[in-house]
Amino acid sequence: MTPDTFTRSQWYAIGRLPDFEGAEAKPVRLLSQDLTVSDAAGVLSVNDADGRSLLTQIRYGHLWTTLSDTPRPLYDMPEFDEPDRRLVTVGGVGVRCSGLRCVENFLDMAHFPFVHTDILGVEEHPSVESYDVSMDAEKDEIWATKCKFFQPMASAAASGGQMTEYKYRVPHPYSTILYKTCPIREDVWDLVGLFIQPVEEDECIVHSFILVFDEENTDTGLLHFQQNIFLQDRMILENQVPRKLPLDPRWELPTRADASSIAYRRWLKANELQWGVALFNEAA
Amino acid sequence: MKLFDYVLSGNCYKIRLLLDFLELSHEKQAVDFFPGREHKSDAFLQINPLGQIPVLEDDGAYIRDAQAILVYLASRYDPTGTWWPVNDPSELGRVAQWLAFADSITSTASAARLHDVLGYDLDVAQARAGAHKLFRILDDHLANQELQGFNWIAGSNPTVADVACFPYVALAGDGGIELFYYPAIQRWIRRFVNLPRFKLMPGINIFN
Amino acid sequence: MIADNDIALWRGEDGQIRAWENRCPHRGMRLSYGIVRGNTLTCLYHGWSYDGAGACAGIPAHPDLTPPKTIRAKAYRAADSGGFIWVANPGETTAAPSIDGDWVPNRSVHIDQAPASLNELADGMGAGLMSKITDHAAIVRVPGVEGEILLAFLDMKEHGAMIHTSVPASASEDAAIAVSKLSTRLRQVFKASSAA
Ligand SMILES: N[C@@H](CCC(=O)N[C@@H](CS)C(=O)NCC(=O)O)C(=O)O
Ligand SMILES: [Fe+2]
Repeated sequence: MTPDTFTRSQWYAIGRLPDFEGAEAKPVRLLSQDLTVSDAAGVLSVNDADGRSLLTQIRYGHLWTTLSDTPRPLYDMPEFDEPDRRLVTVGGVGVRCSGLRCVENFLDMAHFPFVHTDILGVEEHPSVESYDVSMDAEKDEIWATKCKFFQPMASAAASGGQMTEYKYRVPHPYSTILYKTCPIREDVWDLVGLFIQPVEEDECIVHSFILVFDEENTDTGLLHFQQNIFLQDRMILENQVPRKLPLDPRWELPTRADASSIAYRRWLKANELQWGVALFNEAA
Repeated sequence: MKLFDYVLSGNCYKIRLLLDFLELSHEKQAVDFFPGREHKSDAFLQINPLGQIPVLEDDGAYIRDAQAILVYLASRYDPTGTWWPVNDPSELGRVAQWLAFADSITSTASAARLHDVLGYDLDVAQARAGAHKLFRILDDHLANQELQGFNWIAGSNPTVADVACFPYVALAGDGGIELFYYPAIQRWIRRFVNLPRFKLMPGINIFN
Repeated sequence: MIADNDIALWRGEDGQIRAWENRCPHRGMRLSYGIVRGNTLTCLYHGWSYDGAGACAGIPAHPDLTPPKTIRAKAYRAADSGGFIWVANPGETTAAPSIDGDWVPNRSVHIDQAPASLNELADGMGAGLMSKITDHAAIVRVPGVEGEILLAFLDMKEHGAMIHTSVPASASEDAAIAVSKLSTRLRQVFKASSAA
């Protein structure tokens, strides 16, 4: 299948900046296409297999490109300009499933006690309270707010269990960002996000970042914390059947805790996204 | 005692497991193996010219190579003398034999995992085929051990051979290597994760 | 994995074996990664638990909710006999074979290429068929090995096959090891038939 218009019109992160230092036609795969990245004296360029040069931009610590000549603008994250925040780019991790499944998993608090046991959740506190889900019509993005969850070790800087408050944002079919209670400052949120590079319909590379206030941990400590969490998710993601995301409501059965996932699937459908989606008759 | 550690490394996990089994207090120094390649930095090459982790620092000396570190820790700090059974030469021989086998698991199953998870550029089909060859040998061995009443690689007690083989066998699924074909390995994994003070690493199916 | 069906097998405290479609109805997670507690199977992803009949018995995210009856794991038929687990499609009416005597499981070995028939498998093992149980299982004898062997294979098409053996509970350790080695040797007999 060739990517639908909504998928094709997006910008995609394809790696961290240091990954392309001195690159000479370094191969990269995006939306089932082979691309190359080259570094000419610090200027990065991306070409497709026919040698056509693609649009690029450098943002949020990553190199972004698009197959479209008239892409939808890349979403803004003003937090990247705030002083004192620390950015850690975690590196790309390959996962054998649709990147859409990765977004959905990221929006889901109910798995914390079982998948991230004793870090992001404990089995004694599995309950997910109702939260709000809304569409920002102007920016065409999804927000889940007033999410609360009991966490024993909400981040590398946490010193004990706490009720953690979350907000989730989905500004792009393959990007999602969470805003969570900062354990050491009251008036601000810590950010963790995924920039997903869809490689095939059922295969992706997940580039993640943390943008936090933390005076205690080294960058490497933060990196280890995040990679450990993501590898816990990866084992789940690689074992969901089917590997593509089912949008047909007859297929997978959500509950109230899945309100953000329901909104995400609806939004993808409303935008006529098809690439990376499992068709119902494939279920049999 | 200090372990130069990377959270996703199965070779570092071997050391973390034995440190916990033997209840040895230690500190960890996090190494940015990926994406930073800190193990290839000048500073780290001073510590290990091979540019590999794990490395253990104890009494002012650096020891490299996971298997060597396991042998060192068990011989020095295991009062029961069972993890590295020096008093039983024939068992010791078997343990040493499977330590070498563990290193071959690293060069196959771990390579496939580095390819799939961290995008390393290598021949993944060859790595997976090599791992399957080794897993058949291990599955046959463990099944025959069971038929003789032995639960572990070298006999009736877990030894450093089990610790050395466990991580990259148990993590094989991360590299697209299906453990479905190896029922004796699955049963051994289930026994291993039930050892006292065992800690799970992401990517392991505990088969329970 | 049976034919193209991915199946999760589990046994509760009640000792009963169960075979289910390997997929949690909630978010598609393989149930074979789940955890058995008492007579329920708990999915690893969100802790949804299922009772022995496949009905959802609890959703931890909503502790006060009684799970709707529509949430069920799809069950296959499953039975124990002769030290093996036998599985059939839900609609299948024939009973699982009942095998006389007291058998203990010996080996389950993966081979690259499925044998074309039970006869070919027995030949490959150097065994003589004593009595056929199904098209894929029989009691056999191998010259020089004491006692009978229960032998079965599961054809997994391009994934090769699994060979299963059981021996009588009275078999000696030597006999058990001999049968295990015979199973292992089948890997050399049924190798991938690639041109290479
Ligand atoms: N034989 C060594 C191998 C260690 C090894 O392969 N470590 C990996 C990380 S798990 C590594 O540092 N690889 C970098 C390299 O070999 O260049 C051991 O067992 O410690
Ligand atoms: Fe997660």
